[in-house]
Amino acid sequence: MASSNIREKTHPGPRQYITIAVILVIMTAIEVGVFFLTITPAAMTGIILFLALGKFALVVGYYMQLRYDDRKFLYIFTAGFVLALFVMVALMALFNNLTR
Amino acid sequence: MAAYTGLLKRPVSPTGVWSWLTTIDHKRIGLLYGVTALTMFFIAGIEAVIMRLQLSSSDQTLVSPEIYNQLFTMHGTTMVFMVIMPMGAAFFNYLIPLMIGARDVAFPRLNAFSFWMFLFGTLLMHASFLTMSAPAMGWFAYAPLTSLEYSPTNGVDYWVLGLQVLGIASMAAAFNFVVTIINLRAPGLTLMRMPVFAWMTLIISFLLIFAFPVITIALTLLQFDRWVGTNFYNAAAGADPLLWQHLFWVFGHPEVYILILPAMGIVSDILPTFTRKPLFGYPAVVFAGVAIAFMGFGVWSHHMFTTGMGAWANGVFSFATMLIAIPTGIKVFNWLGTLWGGAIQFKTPLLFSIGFISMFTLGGLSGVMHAIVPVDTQQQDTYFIVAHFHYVLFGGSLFGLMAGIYYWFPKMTGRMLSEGIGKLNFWLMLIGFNMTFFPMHIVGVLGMPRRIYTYGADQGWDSINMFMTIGAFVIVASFLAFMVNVIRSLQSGDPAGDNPWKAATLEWSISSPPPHYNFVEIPTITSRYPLWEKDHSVGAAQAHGHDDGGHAVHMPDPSYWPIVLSAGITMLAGGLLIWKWHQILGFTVISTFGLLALYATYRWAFEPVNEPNSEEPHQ
Amino acid sequence: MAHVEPIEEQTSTGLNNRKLLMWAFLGSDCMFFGALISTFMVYRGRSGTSILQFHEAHDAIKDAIGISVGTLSIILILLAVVAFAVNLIVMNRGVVKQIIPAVLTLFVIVVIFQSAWIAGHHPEFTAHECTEMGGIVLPDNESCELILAENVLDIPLTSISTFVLLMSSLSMVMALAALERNNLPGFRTWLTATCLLGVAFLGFQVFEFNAFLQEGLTPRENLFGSTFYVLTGFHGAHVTLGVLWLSSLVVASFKGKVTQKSALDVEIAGLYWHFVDIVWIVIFSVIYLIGAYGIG
Repeated sequence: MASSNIREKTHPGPRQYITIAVILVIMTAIEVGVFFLTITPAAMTGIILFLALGKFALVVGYYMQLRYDDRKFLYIFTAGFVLALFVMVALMALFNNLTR
Repeated sequence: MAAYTGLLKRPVSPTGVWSWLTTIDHKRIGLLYGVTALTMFFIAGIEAVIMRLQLSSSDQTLVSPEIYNQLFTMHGTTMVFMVIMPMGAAFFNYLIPLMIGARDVAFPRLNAFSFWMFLFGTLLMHASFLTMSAPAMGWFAYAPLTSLEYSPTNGVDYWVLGLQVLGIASMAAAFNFVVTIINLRAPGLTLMRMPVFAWMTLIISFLLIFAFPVITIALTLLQFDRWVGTNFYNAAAGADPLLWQHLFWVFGHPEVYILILPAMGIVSDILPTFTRKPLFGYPAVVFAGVAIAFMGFGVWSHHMFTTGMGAWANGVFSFATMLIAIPTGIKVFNWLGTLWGGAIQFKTPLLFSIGFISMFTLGGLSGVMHAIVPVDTQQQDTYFIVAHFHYVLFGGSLFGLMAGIYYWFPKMTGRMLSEGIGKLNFWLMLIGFNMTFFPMHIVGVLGMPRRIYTYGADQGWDSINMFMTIGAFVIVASFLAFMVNVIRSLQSGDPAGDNPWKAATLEWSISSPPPHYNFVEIPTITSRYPLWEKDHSVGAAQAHGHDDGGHAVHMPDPSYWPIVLSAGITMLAGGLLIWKWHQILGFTVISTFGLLALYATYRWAFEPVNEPNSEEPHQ
Repeated sequence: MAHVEPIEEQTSTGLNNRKLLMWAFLGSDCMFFGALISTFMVYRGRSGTSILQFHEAHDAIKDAIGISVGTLSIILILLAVVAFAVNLIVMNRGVVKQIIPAVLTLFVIVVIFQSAWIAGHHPEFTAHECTEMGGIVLPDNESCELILAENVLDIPLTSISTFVLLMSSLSMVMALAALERNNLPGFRTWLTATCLLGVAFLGFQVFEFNAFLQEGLTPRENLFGSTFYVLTGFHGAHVTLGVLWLSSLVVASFKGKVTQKSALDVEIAGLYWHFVDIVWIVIFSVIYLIGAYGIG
């Protein structure tokens, strides 16, 4: 088996990268815009987290090519990411800081 | 033509001290780990013997309380980080490439770097003895005892810096073995055909890379508190000392599985050889290991049942801890199933393996007791806990590692160890171990707390403690027998041959000790027990005189950048200690060695795998 | 990083060893930042009191930072001058081809020098302590406002630095695409742009840290200060290492050592760079936006 970096035909090109960049900027602008609105903290937290997760997924999926590469990279990275999330939520719960 | 990649010529000779300092051969690195770990074992053992002498009867004054605190702190820290872990590393460094049919690990220089960081971190931490300020706050260093206010000496600083260096060593090795085991297996060697030891190494490598960063942060926050004056663990500033405990045990619990799984892997590979049948329920043993690793990240607060977390938290962690006994039990039953109906040969490796299974089970039973919150409330911080973890770590890990030493010593040295002395070693160790640690259950329930340097005569613990101290000397005797066995064998032991145990896995298909290139031809694997297969294609190339000394095999050249980089990083850590005392001098040391480390990194990165026109080294 | 071949060209999974290593490292780094962010989140809202310990040591911290940054900037300036000279003289390249590395170097020097000057010279680099909270009265006894997220974080400024880092991810992936299409000048341009954007981000961070220090938020002032500086400081350190790595690739490419065949090396560096960006996405969203919204 060759050890080369296997790329599928649907691998994104410069045009798609720029499109994604525009989307990321728009999402960031929305996030900052929401910050200056007066809504409940809970709603604000929800929107920001949703958008942040979206930006995260876009960069990881398209810029870091996880959507197109071998699944094993996805598994290894997700394991660390999910574990970090779990530890964060658990610690916040243990310190009673989850609902602030 | 000599190659100048730096100030010094790149080494190519296979002999001499310089060849050992620059080696990137996984087998040599494994031996270096092993010898260092055994040395640290004797040092930590002496610390234990002194403690046992101090505790042998009430109101003793052999050592002061301050010295006693340093003894138990260093004993625990050394045994966990500088004995059990590196002994496991010795085995997986030596054996994994052999077991998976590879010529070396994925990143040989990174492998050497791991060893040198381990050695230098060990030396850094033990340098604290020179200034009479060894760490004295217990091996898990709870806040706020570790604050400058309550630990004004440099002991905590040595401990923190030493552990950061050791952490880099462990993580580098873990990354290396994740890639090696996933990517460098011989053709046909699917994951489910690997020896169990290879599986366990893969699992603990994942545990290491995900758990260690958390203690890195915990230690860094402590460093900030002590060096910069922040208040991460200072309750008066609104912080919570419990944060240390959480961060430490989020790492610490996976750490104890890192300590036990390699030994479990060793035993799982030894049992088939000495029962002449395959491991019972191989998939179950593997999946149980994976399950233990996953669940190990969810039980950490069972070390904190008495800290007032509340009923919900206690309940969740208690439940999870009891659950984790299930995959552990599955492994035990599979080992018993392997023994059942087998043509058992009672050689020393098997004796230690049976010792492992029985002693570890006892430790597991006391562990399940601790999982019950009200029971743990009585047991916490008593000798009952000390009994539990010594049963799993000594009766478990160490017995397993001893089994591994007796099993693979012939492969590594080409000589057999004496069966007679081996059996003496085993029985003395089993008896001495149980004499020392079984009564700790009793004396713990009678109320004897941990980490006390003496106790009153009116407690009634005298005779039990005296008994335990005698047991400690029986353990000492067992290790004298072990050393005699090793030294005798190295000088005049029987030649081992390729496969003295008639075992089944790949490492036994090559010579003892193996050639530096491991395999003449990388074999193709068709089963879990390749050497027990009828057609025996593995080893044919070696056996039929095709071994031409490996002239056609190009192995990577040695390199001195790993040791230089390790020295740079460790000296940088030392510079932080100096900075506490004299800022400008400290900062000079930090920046000088920091720049050296950066330089070494660049040179390493641009150093080719082989020097042009280099002679093939025959190590 | 550039042209070292691995022992085995063939691997059991067909995946490249170094790429697998980088992904494993990034998974591990998630736990590293996870623990840091956890610490921040656990201590959110607990900075109700302001503690000033080690009063005598207070000036020592200020001096230490001044000395450290000052010394470091001198060392770096010397290195940059030497590198510039060596490049010019030994490599025999004309002055024109030196412009990009020179501009880059000067930018870094200016940023570091500026922060060193501010740290060493600004008279208001002190921590506040208010009599109302039972602390020591210091000469500059100003208003007793707690220094917390809401009143110190500058969202518009940080939005710009976030945008800068996002654009650096774009330029990184464009650099990789150019190299894969054998467009070396394009590759060099995009990669240099990535470095510059990264350095610009660092500049924004340094500026922000200085601003906070002037307002009295030191790492020791309160828990917000401690957790904020440690978290964003480690992120900044990751960015710095990334800039060093990427600029090494730029320099190597000018020497002809980076070609279409070494696209994998650039990809691996890119993975690290994108990770640093996504960590910042999390930090910006959680610590800045959610954190400064008036909670805690």
